[in-house]
Amino acid sequence: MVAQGLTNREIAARLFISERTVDGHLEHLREKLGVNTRSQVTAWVVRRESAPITVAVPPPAVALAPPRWALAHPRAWLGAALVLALLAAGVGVLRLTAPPPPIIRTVAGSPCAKQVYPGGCYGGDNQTALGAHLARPTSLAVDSKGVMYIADYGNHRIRKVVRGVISTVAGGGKGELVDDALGIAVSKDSLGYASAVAVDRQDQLHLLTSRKGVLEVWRIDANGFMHRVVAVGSSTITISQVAPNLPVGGLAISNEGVLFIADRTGNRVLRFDGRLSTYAGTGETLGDGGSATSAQLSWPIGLALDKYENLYIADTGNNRIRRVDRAKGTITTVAGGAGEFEGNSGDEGLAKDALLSFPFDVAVARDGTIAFTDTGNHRLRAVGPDGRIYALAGTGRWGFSGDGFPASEAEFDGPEGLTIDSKGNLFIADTENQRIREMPNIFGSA
Amino acid sequence: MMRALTALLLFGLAAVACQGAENATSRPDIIIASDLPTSAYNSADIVALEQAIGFAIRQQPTIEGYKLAYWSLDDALGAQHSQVRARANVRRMVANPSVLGIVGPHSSFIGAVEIPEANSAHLAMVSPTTTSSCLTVAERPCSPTAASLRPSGSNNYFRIAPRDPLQGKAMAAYAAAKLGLRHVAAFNESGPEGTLYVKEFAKEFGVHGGVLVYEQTYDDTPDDFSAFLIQAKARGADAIYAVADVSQNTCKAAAQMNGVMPGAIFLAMDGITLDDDCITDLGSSPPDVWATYGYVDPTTNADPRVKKQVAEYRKAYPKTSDIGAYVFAAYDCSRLLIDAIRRAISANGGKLPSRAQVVSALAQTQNFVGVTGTYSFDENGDALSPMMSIYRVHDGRWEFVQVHNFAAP
Repeated sequence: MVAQGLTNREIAARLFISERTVDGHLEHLREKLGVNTRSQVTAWVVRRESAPITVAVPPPAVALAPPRWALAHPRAWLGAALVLALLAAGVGVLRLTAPPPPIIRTVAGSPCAKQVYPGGCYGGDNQTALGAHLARPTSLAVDSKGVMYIADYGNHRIRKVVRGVISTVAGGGKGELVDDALGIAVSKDSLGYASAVAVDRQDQLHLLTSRKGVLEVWRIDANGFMHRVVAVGSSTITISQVAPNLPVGGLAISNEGVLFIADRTGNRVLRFDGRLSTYAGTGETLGDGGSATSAQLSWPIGLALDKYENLYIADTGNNRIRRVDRAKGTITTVAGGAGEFEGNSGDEGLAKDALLSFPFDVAVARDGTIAFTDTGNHRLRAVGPDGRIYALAGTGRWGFSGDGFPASEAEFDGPEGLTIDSKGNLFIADTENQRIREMPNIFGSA
Repeated sequence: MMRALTALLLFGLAAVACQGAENATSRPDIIIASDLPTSAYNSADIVALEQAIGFAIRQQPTIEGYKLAYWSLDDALGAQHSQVRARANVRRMVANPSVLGIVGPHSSFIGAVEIPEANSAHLAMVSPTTTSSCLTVAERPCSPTAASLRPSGSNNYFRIAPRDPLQGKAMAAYAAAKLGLRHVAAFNESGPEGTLYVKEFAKEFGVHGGVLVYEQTYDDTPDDFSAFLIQAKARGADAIYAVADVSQNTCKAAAQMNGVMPGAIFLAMDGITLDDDCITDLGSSPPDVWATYGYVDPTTNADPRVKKQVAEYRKAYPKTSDIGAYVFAAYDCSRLLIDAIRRAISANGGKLPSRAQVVSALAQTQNFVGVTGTYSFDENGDALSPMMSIYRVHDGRWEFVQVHNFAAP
């Protein structure tokens, strides 16, 4: 009605409410939209009306259907409500039936008794995960049965959460990790710097670690024994006991069991199918549109595969999400790239024109939506199948808040890892908050 | 109507032109940059460093007629400092041709990613706070190595803070020359770097006629040091040297020493210095405790020149929190850079120097007189006489004893 040019008095008359109430709503609306004037509200509505918005109906089962989280951003949510209000006003009935904005909650981790930065401590095994102590969780994986694995990086452990109870599945000891032939129980041995986890189609847990300067992938079998899968090569990482160590890389596994390994300090992604080869990186220039093996990556960390097994790379140092086409072997930027340096802009526009700040991890939903941690901005963002970028969660300020409330109002502190389970739940490693958080059922089940 | 529009257009163009000219004249010729985690958790001390750099540059707004400015970047990512943001920030500095020097890095951990970026661009760095021996000449395996931090093959990094192991050297000299000690036992909870402290201690102690009679390394943090203390006593030690911090129970070890070795002296490093938790751990009957600190606090200096500079600073920043540790080291590093840039301009015939020329001038610094010390650098970038102070526990509190001069111990 504002967009139609109605005055507050006219709107009040139409909705049978006071003029002051209309003014209050309008003030709230301006604040939410981040605008100052009535004309800016009008311009926003006009802009939104020209954009596709689906309201109050489940997403149709077509490839290009807008994802449900298109309404996650408060502007989208308010926009939907506003459009509805405009429609309802026309028939004299006001019915707001848009789905509620997605909420966020903590599913594992709690502060240490004496929270000290750099934070984190160890504790809570075999108890509720909500009470457990984590130290810089960096990476997450969920298997087909809903078991969640956490790279508890600062504790040199891999933890798992089964029906809300946490335990250690590997690491924490001081011994040397010994190869599988000896059948050593992994929980008694040192994992080194294990910063990434992934599960394969058979629900076998894999981890990426740097031990004694060598980057390695290990598999943990159903009996809890370690099997070294591949030693990738040297990993020159700087280690600090009093500062946050960066992840050593990332890991993704295809349906056929092919490993994709991000070697952060080597600025490359490797492929292992029994034979190790370079899959992306090592080039001198960015190389978009060309061969992935000729492209430049800068501290790549998180990896994810879509259903066609195209590979997505959190190209952290380049402030981009890159995509390697499986069939062509070419690389492109799917998000970021508007400038040389980090930034925080572009929401609701084309993702390749947005600015990101050190994205650490990426995950792909069944509908092709690409979710990623915009770590330096303390946010989660997503790229829809239409190529546009949207806010998923986080205010952009660092801190810890928002559990039980819309994810857009939550605060994170350097969130690094994320994963999507088969039910469409999104899990986030809120790294510096020493917690795992969840946005339930945001992407729909597989 | 057309005439009015034309006039308006001309006015607008003139306004834009004037704005451009103003920007051009206000643009600095030379920028000194820093990268500090000023928005991180509990960062008041860090902000104070930024103030000190800014103060030094405001005191010297031009160098040989060239306008000087300060560009402060923030490498915090949330609550903590971040290697990924630090590296990107140095790349931003490198991309700005006016940046001729950096006061930093702030920590050795951050230095591991910042130094190579600056080094590749021959950009000078002067650090007030980094102390890891791996940044220059560690006598132990380091990852990354000092050489790999310098991909250009030449040095661009200088510091006035001491290499960590030099604390062992300073403590040994003081223990032998001032305390008259000759037999010391040492324990180390600080890994390979700690081993170097002990090595430096033993070497310097030997120069003064002392002997390190026993040495033990702990991989874990012990609660009970009695086995070590009994061994030390059996070998005739009249003092203990500890390379560990308060959280590693160092001061509890000192309290236990009093029981096993009555009258013995406890020597330690900056992991305990000025820490009130240590005073608590020492208990009600503490032994004599002496410790090194890799900083010089000029507020205790009686030299009129230093007093005047400190007074000027306090006038600008009167709060107690403004005068935290390393504030005056950051001030001195800024002035060292300004001095080097001035000499580089002179050497370049009055023209703006290249970054490499600034690095060269910095390397040639001779006896620069700061408020925290007098500085020249060796070929690795280490100060020949870095900052070092001796403190002791007296009447239940930490007390400054003296500045240690490596050049003339």
